[in-house]
Amino acid sequence: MGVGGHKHHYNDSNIEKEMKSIGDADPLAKLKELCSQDHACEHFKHRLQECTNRVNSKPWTKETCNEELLDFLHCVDECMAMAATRFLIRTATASRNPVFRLMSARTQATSAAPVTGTATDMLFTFASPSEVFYTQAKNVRQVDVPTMSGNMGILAHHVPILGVLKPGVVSVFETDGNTKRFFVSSGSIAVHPDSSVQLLAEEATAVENLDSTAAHDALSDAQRRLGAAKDDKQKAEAQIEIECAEAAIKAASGVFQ
Amino acid sequence: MSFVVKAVGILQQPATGVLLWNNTSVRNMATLKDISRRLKSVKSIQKITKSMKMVSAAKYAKAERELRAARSYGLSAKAFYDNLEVEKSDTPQKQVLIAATSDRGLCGAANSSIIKSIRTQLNEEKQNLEGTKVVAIGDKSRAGLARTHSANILLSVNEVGKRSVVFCDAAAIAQQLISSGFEFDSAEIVYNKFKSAIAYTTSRQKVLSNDTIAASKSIQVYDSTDADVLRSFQEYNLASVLYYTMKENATSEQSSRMTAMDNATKNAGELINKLTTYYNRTRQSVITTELIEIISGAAALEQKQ
Repeated sequence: MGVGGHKHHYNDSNIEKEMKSIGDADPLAKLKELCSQDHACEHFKHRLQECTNRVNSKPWTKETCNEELLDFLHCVDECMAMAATRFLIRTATASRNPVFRLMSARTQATSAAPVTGTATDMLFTFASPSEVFYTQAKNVRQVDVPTMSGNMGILAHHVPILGVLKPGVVSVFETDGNTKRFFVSSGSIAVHPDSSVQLLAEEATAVENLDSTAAHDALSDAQRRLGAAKDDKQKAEAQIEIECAEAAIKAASGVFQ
Repeated sequence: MSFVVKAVGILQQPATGVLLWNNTSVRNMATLKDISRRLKSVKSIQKITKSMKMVSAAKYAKAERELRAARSYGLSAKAFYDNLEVEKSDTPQKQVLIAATSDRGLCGAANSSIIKSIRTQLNEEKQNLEGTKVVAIGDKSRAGLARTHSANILLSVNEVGKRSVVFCDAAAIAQQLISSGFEFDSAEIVYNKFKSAIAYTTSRQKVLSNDTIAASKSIQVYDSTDADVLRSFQEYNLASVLYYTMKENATSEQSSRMTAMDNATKNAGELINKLTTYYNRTRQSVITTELIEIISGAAALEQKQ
């Protein structure tokens, strides 16, 4: 039967496009219909059709089409599982509830990954203007980034997304089990439809290189400047410095996340 | 190189308007002094160009090292603009041309090629001249465009080229451009893309404005991006792309200066050889002429006796 070994390439973009224009119709029924027409399940559909024709053409036979039907339904279910979860998460994150967004942002990474687990498909680039950490690396399994809209865990085949970074710790989980942590001050994250992830940080350094005394000094300096600030712009600049210094202190003392 | 032309002029034209007191020796002596003065100045110029070449070779090595680190960063930022599809619109677009040049010259055609490219574009755009603005980074581009298109210069930046470009500089320029209030539809950065130590190409990098990005079809692919996130992302990307193009341009400029100074040193060396030969010949002819005068004078005296 070969259930576990198949790697189905569903026409995800087509399915997503169709699901966008769904309006008030029942999502499950629509998904089932789209997945049955999907190119990947055509093979099973064809076999099912053949079997049905064969059984119907004979006046009497012991053969049933259970096997072919189960194969076909299994394929459709796999396609639907991915697409349905993605659809539900998207409509959920579209809501303005920040807690829910945070929760769903963390689960989004794991549930959007395909069932067959091709986790090495991510092309990871992590660079700052003066240093390159990863360039088109294929050996990264997961990346945790601190963004303005919450901490995000990104695996391969993550939904395309654009985000802006907050001062914090980026954790890179490699396929061989190593974890590397970097402190970033700000920057941007982009996940493109071709599963390439680009993390551009304005300043980034390995957490081991952080000097906590220097961070404490920077924090007290920034707090003093906040007290002496005269206009909104200076206040905002001092607050940004405070936020960054606090995150650096946290990271230097070993608290990640 | 003007000093080359002047010195060659000495070789080709005889000094006609010189005081003809003795009709021969004064002219040659003046020419001798002239030549020796000229020789000394060309030698000192050769020393200067040689040291400039050394300095720019060191700066070039440093710039190339930094560019290698910045390339990953810059290409990722660049890819965002390159991969976004934008529909062409028929209405006249407001455009900003960002000229990445430097303050110093003597770098071959690096700065002038950028200025020329921008100037031809400005001269072509007869109908949309008010909608096209220029951000002149570096005194060279400002000086090159201020004479003919001073109304189009939106911003000018100087103190560029002395130290290597840092992200803060690019961020400051991006900040000024965004807060300048000029609502542009698209922008293009004109810079010299570094190919190798002897080659660079003048290229353009397009940058899209926030409205154009928001209206593009491909941006719908990206999930859960609200307007604030998109704007922050776009501003940061503009600074990143600007930083990358300025780094590429700096490396091209240093390599171009290195080549130019190398050529100048070689040419000065050739000129010195030519001048030295001429000097020696002139010196010998002066000596011969004096000898002939002395001998003929002595012979005339003998004959009289």
